Amino acid sequence: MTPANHSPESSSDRLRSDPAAPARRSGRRTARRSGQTLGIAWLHGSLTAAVFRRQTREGSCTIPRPVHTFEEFGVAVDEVLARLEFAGTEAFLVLEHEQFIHQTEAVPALVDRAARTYLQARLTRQEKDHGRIVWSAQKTISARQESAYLLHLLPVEFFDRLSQVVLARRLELTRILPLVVPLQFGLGSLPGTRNQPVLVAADMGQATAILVGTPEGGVAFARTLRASWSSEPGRVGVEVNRSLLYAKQKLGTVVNRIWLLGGDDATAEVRAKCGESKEITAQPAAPTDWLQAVAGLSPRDPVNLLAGHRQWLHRRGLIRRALGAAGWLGLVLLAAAAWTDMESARAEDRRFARLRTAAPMLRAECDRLTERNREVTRERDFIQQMVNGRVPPVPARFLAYLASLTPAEGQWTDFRVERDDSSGGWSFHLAGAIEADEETARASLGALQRRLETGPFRAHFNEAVRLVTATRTDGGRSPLELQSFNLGGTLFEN
Amino acid sequence: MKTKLAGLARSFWLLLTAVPGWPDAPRIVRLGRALPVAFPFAIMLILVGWKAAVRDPHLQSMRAQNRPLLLLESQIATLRLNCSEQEAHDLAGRAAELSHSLIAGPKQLAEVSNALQKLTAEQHWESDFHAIEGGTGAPVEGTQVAFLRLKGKLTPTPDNAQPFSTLVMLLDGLSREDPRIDLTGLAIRADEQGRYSVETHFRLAYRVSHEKAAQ
Repeated sequence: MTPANHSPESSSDRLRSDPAAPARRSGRRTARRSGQTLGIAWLHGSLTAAVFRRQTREGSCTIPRPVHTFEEFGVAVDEVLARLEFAGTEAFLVLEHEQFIHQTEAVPALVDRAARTYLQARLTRQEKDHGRIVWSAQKTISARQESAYLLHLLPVEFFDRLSQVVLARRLELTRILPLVVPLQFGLGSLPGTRNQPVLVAADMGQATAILVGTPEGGVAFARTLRASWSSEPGRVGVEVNRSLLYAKQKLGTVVNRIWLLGGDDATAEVRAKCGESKEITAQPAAPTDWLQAVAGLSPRDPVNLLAGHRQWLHRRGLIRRALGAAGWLGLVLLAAAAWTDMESARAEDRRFARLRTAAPMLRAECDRLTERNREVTRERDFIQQMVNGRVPPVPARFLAYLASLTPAEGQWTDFRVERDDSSGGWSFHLAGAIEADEETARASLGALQRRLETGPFRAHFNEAVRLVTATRTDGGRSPLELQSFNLGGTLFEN
Repeated sequence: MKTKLAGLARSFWLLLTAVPGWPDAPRIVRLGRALPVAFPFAIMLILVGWKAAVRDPHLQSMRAQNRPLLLLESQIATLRLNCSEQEAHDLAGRAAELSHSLIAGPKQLAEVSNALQKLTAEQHWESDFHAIEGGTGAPVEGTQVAFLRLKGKLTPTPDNAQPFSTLVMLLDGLSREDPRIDLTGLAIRADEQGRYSVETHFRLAYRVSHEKAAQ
């Protein structure tokens, strides 16, 4: 449930510091990737091991003495490794132990994910009272509406000690499976009628494993009882009969077939307790067969106690590595930023030092530039005033232009052009006379006015021309008619 | 909340210090295991702390101390940006050129009058120039160019056979650039005998001294 706080994946550190570690086998150290897998069946005091290479069994051995404690387990594993000359590191364990509990837990009808969350919550509460556990769950078949799961519960403390023993021997424990799993796998290979439930009782030496399931692989329930077939066959018979009754309740059907794996020692007692109508078959079975059955099982299989733990460890390792990588990357970036910062601070220091040294010069330069810019502004204003203040020689040009327009019979008596300083405009006044009759004079003046209006000076006359007619005698000849006139207006500069 | 935080801290501690295969590893080994991950963060913390507690205050203090110099430098840069040396040089040259075309001031008026009289005499005209009263008043504040007004009376000499054409030529010559003389008014009267009486108004610009303009 709560995964153990260590990983069986790497053992080199542990080996260095574990004084209880056995002598290292140089052969195994140099052949870590030999492709061999060691399977260990530790079943209530008996220990059998087999070496597999891609599910092919290459050798096996059984420890002839009881193995109960971890010390005995360690010695037994050493012996197994020596006898089998195991050259790999991967190992799996089929475990049945008094601390490895299997219990059925009813769950409301939920989808698998929700059911597992429910179970986890239940087990979390249980952990508060009984300590942390490693667990896996198998869904069971049932005739009832509610779901039920077969839970395999292993205390973390037990798991840690087991791991220590295994890791000290440079073994990587990838799977811990209850005996139910190989028995379940074996259901399909039992001869008989399909779709009929069957009870399997397996002899584990000093205990008996009982499983009820269907040949399709479904498990109704499983239990372990501390009874030896050789010494307590009667009790075995009673417990098998009780299991049949429980199976009938759970499955709603009678289990008629019983398989006794391990020999004939309890056959008579089972038949006596369960009745003659039951089809009882006894056949020899060895732990190596059960190891063989699960040799190819993936470590990710949900029944594997280490599946979640390994996944959690893997995730934790990834997080740790990511954290480390982020830390180092951040450190490099921060160091680079700090170095850049220090460089810029050093540059700033140098700059300040230069400024302090050059302060008098800077002040002088500032004064000079201020004065220069003031002078520039003054010069610019002066130039602007000079440009704006230019007065074109309008009077002289207008005089010349007017002379070119004056009719032959006309003469000027007064010519005046003045500039108004306030507005910058030009005004003119002209006076003269034309020797002609009034009509001719008016025509000539009209033509002159039009020329002046449309000419380069675009003259604008203030009022219509007024003629004053006079007669002049000249030396006794016929009198001449003289038309005097005045013109006034404004000029536009050209 | 407190329990959650404690749990979180414990998980983080385990994440950092878990020794694979050694669940009950001693503290020193756990710390050694945490070192590759914790070390960079610790250094980062030290760096950030050093920056915040030592470096930044020192920099700020240094900057505050040298702020007047920075401002001075910035002011110099701004002043340089306002006008380049080349532009200042060009403007000064152009202003000097324009100043050169102006008369020096009221004191030079007599000299200019003499020059104009000489010029008119060359065109067979008699002339009399004099400054207009009030034409040399104080310049308007802010302006650098002030004006003097000169009034002239011109009559053709008896030997001037073509008074009009010589007058036109004379007027052309009087409106000049060096020194700058602006013809602002012209009045010509001709009697029945064809005798001309000419009155001219000139405006002569001069530059007000810098000291005055600055005031």
